[in-house]
Parts: sequence; C-alpha cells; structure tokens
Amino acid sequence: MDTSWRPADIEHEETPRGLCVYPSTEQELTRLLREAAASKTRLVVDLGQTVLPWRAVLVSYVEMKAIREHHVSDYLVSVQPGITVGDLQRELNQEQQGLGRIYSPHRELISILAEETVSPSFYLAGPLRYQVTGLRVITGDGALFHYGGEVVKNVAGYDMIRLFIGGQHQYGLLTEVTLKTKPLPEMSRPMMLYFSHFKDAWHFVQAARDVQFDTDILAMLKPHERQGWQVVFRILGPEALVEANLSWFGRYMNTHQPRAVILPLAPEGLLHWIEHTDWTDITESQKEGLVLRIILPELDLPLFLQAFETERYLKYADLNLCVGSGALTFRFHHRHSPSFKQALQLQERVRDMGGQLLCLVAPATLESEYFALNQPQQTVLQTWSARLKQQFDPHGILPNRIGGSR
Amino acid sequence: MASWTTLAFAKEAKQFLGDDAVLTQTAELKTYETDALVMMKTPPDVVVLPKTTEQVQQVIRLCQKFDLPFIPRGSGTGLSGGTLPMRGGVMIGLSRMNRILKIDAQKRTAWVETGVINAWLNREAKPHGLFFAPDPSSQGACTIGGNIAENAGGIHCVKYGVTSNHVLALEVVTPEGDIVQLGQNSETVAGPDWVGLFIGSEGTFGIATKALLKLMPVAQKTLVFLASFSALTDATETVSAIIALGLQPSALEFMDALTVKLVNQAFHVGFPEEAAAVLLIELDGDPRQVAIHAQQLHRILKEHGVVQLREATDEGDRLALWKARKGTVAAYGRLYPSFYLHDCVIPRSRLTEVILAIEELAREYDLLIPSVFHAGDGNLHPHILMDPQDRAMVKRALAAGEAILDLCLSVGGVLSGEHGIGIEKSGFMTRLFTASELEVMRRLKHVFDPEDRANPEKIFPMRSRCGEAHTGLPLKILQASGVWI
Repeated sequence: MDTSWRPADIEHEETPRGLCVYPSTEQELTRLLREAAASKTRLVVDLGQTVLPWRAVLVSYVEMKAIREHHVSDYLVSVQPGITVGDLQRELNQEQQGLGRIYSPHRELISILAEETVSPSFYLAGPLRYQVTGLRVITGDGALFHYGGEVVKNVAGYDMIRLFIGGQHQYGLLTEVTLKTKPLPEMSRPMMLYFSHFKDAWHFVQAARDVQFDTDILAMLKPHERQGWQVVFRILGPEALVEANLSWFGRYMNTHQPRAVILPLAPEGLLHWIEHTDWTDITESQKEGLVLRIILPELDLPLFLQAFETERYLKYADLNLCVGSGALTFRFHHRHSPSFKQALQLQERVRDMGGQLLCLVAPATLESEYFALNQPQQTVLQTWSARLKQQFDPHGILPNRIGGSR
Repeated sequence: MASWTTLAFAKEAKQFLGDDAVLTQTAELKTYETDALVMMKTPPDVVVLPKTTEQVQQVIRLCQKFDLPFIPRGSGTGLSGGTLPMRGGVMIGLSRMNRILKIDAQKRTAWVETGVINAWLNREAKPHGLFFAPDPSSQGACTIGGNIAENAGGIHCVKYGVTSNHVLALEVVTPEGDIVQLGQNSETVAGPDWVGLFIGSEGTFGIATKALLKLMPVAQKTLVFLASFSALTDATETVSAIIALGLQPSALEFMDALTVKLVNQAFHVGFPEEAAAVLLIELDGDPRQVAIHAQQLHRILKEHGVVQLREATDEGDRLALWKARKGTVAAYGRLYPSFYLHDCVIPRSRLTEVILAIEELAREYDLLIPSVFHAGDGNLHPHILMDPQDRAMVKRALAAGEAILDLCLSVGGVLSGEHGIGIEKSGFMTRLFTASELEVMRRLKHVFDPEDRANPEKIFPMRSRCGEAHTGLPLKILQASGVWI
C-alpha cells in the first residue's frame, strides 16, 4: 500500500481514526475505487462508528444521500444509499407511502442493503432483496454496473441484485438503488406482549402464523436480563380489518390465557424498541461485543433452545427472532462472549441440526478470527466465493467477510 | 452426421444410463431441436435422459472428458430458445427426474426433483391446503427446473412474486461436475445469495436436480372479476389506479379486443365482445380483507367507466376464466399458425402510452398484434401473429418486434420479465447493457462455469466480446429452420 495516497479532488479528511473520504457522486466514487485499486489501498465503508482497520481508508456515504426520483404512481423510489431510513421514510410519507419495513431511523440505507439486515417486518415483507428492483454499483476494479430500475419484474441477464444486496461491500460499492414502496396503511396498532414462558410466546406466534394474522411485524425477543419473552406485532390495514384482527387477538388471549402482559405501543415506542433491538446495527453492536446468527428451520426453534439450554454463555446473550426469517440473532456482551473455540463447537452442533451459524459482528481486533466462521462448508462454495472475489475485486481492496485475509 | 466424439460419448454414456436413455438417431433428436420458440431449430448431437443426480454428474464429467458443451432441458416449453444447442453438444433432458420427494405441510415446503411438472406439484399440495405460487401459462407442461432456469412468473406473481421468491434451496450439479447444495431452509442469507443467483441463469451455471420449494397457504377467500371497458385507455388507467391505491390483487390481467374475440371463439366463455379491453382481476386472502378490497375495487372500476362487470363466485367459474386466459396462445392459432412473442416489462405508469404505441406499430407494419399481459407487473406480451411461410410477413414481424422492444426500452423498460433471454433476445442485450456491463455479467458466468460448457451462447450477444454487437435474432438459426429473412 502506498501510505501517501490521497484521493485527488474528492473531499477527505485526516481523522483520529485515519483517512476518511467523502465522495458525493458516482463519478467520485468510481474514481476513488480506481485510484485505490491502482495504489492497492484497502477501503472500508463507514457504518457510523466503524473502527478503521490498519492501513485502510474509510469511505463515508454521508454526502451520497439524495433522493434521485420518487416514482409515486409506480410505487418505486430511487435513492443514493447514504440516506438514512428516517429521512427516506419522511419523504415517502409525504406521498402517503412508506418502505413497508421497520428499521432504526438513524441507520443509513447503505448498511442495511449491504448486510441485508433482517427486520421484524420480515414476516410480511420477506427479505430486503425482494424489495430492490434496480441498482447501480461500482465493482472493485472501478467498473460501473447498472441493473434493473423502474420495473417490478426483470429476467434480462443475471440477477445481480442477489450478488450486491447482502454482499457486505465485498464485490462492489452501491451508488444508487431503486426500491419498491408501499401505501401507508389506513390504521396500525403496534403491541408488545411479555410472556412469562417461552412455550406461551411460541404458541401465540404459531397461532398468528396459522390464521394469517394481518400483521407486518412479528418478532420474538429475549433480553438476557429478563426471564420472559417479548413478542411484538403491528396489526395494520383498513379500520374494519384492524378491528377484526384485534377481535381474534382478544379471543386468543381469553381462550388460552397465557401468563402475559399486554402493552399497546405508540409509534414512537415501536421505533424506540427497534433502535434497541437491532443488533446488526454495527454502530451499537461493536461497543457490545459479538453478534452471531443461527439460521435454522424456524419450527425447530423449541428443539434448538432445548438442546442448548445448558450452554452457560447463551444465558448471557440477548436473542431475537424476526418471525419468518429463520434467523436467530444473538448478541453477546463483551465479558460473556463465547470464545472462538466455543463458537466453533456451537457451529458444529447447529450444523448437525441442519442449521448454519454465522458471525455478523465481531470486535475489530477479532474480526478475521470470527469471520472464519462464515467460510462456507462445501468446497464448491469456497471455490466460488474465492472466484467471486477474484472477478469483482481483483486487487483485494474491498472487505472480505468470509474471513482469513482481511 | 454424428461425429466420432459424439459416438464415443454416447457409447460411454450408455454404460451407466442404459441404451434407452441415450438418443443419437436423427429422428429421435428431432424432438429436441426446438422449444416453444418454434421458429428456431437446431438439433443436439446427442440427448441423454438421466434419472438421478449422480447420473447427471456422470454425464457432465463425461462432457468434460470429451470437451462437449451441455444443454439442460425440461419440457421444452421455454419461449426464448434457451434449450437450443447453439454449439451442438449434449442435451440433458430431466423429464425422468420427476418425483415429488416430500411435502412438509407443517413447514410449508416441498422437496422435488426438477423434472416435476409445475401442475403436478400443485395437485399434490392442494390436499394440504397449499400451493406453489409461480404459475406460468404452460403450467400443465413446464417443469420446476424450467421455472428455476427462467425465473418464471405467471398470473399470480403480481402478489406472490416470481420463482426466485419461492425456492429455498437447490441441489446443483456444477459445470465442473460437482454436486453442491445451495441454500437451506430459510430465505435469510449472509453474503451472496447463491440460490437467487442460480435462479434465472438459464442453465448457464449448471443443472439444478432437486429443489426445496416454499409452498403458500391457499387463500380462504378468492374473488375473480371480469371488467370490460369501451376504451382501451380506461382499462390501462384502471390498472394504474388499482396499483396506486395499493390494493395488491393476486392477479391483474389485461386482454385487448382481438384477444377477447378469439378466446370467446375458442373457449365459449362469454367474454363481452363489444369491449375494447377487459381486465381479469383476482382478490384473495382473509374473507374480511377481500370484502373490503372488493368494495374499493368496485369504486375504482366505476370511476374509470367500467361497462360490464362479472364476478366469478364459484370455483368452476373462476377456473373457466383462468383457463381461457391461459389458453390465449391456442386461441391465436385460429387466425395464424405462428406468432412472435415479446415479454418486455415497462414501468406500470407508462402502460397506456405503450399499449397505444404498439397498436400504432401494428398498423404501421400491417400486422395483427393482440395483447394479453400481466398488467399488474407491467409485463407485456404482445403476440405478433404471422405465417412462417409468408416471407414478407415474417420480415415485417421481426421488424415490428424490434420496434416494440425499442419502444419499451425507451420508457425505462427491460427485455424480459419471465421468459428469459435465451438465444432469442441475446442480440438485443447490447441495447439494455453497455459492453462493460455485459463484461461484468460474464465475470459472474466465469465464477460458475470457467470453461463455458453450460448452455453456451445464451444470454450474451454473440461476438459482443470483440465489440461487434450483434443485434436481433440469430440469422443462421432462422435460416436453418426455414425462416426467410
């Protein structure tokens, strides 16, 4: 690496954490990538409080936050990905539209897109990649690629959305995305339930799934300091439908009489909740320690919890399940994080159950060690992963989340 | 005539597949010389019909040994020439891998071999109160493997999404002869979405032999409305209004006047023949929700000048309407023996202007171009009717097709929504992507298939590497199949 390299004509500053670059246009970002490739300078996208690895440059998206176009009648919006969720939602709300997903409003879209953050809205909306109809991206060697756009269906060429959304900045940096939007519901009723026992919480969630309860949010959460389980949902739709769903809910509670406390939430309360339970928010989580994700057939969750109930370190983890995603996310507080060896053992046992364990967040000094957990098990996938990096980031300037070489 | 290489390949293949699963005779190969893009024909050198994943693996390893390309094939219902063996080679037919391995009603999933016919799966899932959402018009014949290769859609994908939204995992034989499972039991991924990348890759990344599919619960209530309009623009503006209100119908289909007339003749469904256009609109879901949405729909239809509204309340009536819709291609056959079909997608807000412009193009080229399409997705299906023996007409049809594509691209559209690029639209890719963008896509192909053995010459325009952009249909194939240019 040429340590004297500075991007020409692109805003940048020396910070206590090192060199931070603020491109504001696609052209600037393209030039930045090309210059970084030429000088073999590694780039890391700033997600807020990102700790800068040694001899790398931090790329901030704060200047790339424009709304390119809101195609109101097509229910699509094209934006630069540095925009925050809150700013985007506010703009959409002016036209009685929204993202149809809930995320912490202060998060930049770029971090959600790159990580394909699982949201409590997964239950209704599915994975985030389904909502993206177009993107513009610059690969690691500075090639600009444009795919899709204002169309909601597209099989012209390979579906590159599946590579770059959730690609964790490994293959290219996004400069623009087009997302589907949704009409704002006529009415919404967020609620939180505190169940004393897991089995009651689980029974409620399954019953809601079986009756196709009209909720966009359905999430289970167990903070480590509490015994019980929280379930959060939000009934939405036309008034008559909301009333009908509330009736079902009332009947359910009367019939089953679980040990639970019902707490209606105000919209601000819901946002407050999401801000404190989004454990993939790197900004927060990096201060806290380790975030692991276990992906498994969701109906096997009770079996999983039973199998691991004696694992001491799991007792000190916060756990969250966005229902429908099959993704159990564990946040370990620093003192109680499993060692790498323990994490490996956990991974083996999860694999035996037909699941998968991944590391989403690790303290900066331990990243390369814990990210090794993300190495695919099958040799073919290891080969393909290596080829992807070679093809899309031939100079190795972008992050490597598969572990080892970062 | 079969080459020495082909004969040697066939001889070895017969050792593990058996004589009846290796076809080399000219008459046998003729069945496989085309798919539903019937105006293009070219036979493979040899066809193999494996029954297991391991046999597919052995075949691919044999292809490596003899340096032959391979072309996967399901039922041959593809509309973009995706199974045409452009460089000859080995066609791997998956029709004998047709078992539904397991339906898990509790988890709402099904493991199937990819030669299973789409409609068979739905027949087996129905008693469990479940269904597989992608439902292309060829659903009675097309395979799950074909749906995966093309990322098929269908009438109901406006609400439920296309194939890639309904596949959780795949068992794949790679072009290098390895067997790998992509994905697991969840839609959540970390890093590249291997399953999502594979779906829609048109057989150019390898062969999917098994799939874990997501099944959906059958809606408690379904209503289908047939709304007729005296002006075509009333119908297209109704579509925009339905989208704008966020109603999310489970189907929203458009048929123009000519289509209505031909469908009536073919199926006697009593569509209103005086209509300039009709919309088929389906609402499904919770009965209370459907009732509320039906009220909203009635209001929109009234505001947009609906002339006649028919509601199919029982299942028999609903099925009759959908049968007629899915049978439009057969109905077109009453006028002309063939057609040239496009599949472009446009922003939904541009429907009216594009449909009117296509009508204008039909007049300009002196052709009949009836339209039946997935209006809710903006996925157009203009059928350019023609007689392949009429050379002048074919020439006009090809020119009109090109003009339609350019029209769609000019309003921000794309080349295909569910049929794929195949060979038929590969020449037009340079109008949608720059040379540099195509090169980025080629890099992805290289990740999966570094030797370019899997279904070569598809998706990418021929010679585009050298900057000699080839446009339009491959002339060599058209001429070989008897179409005069």
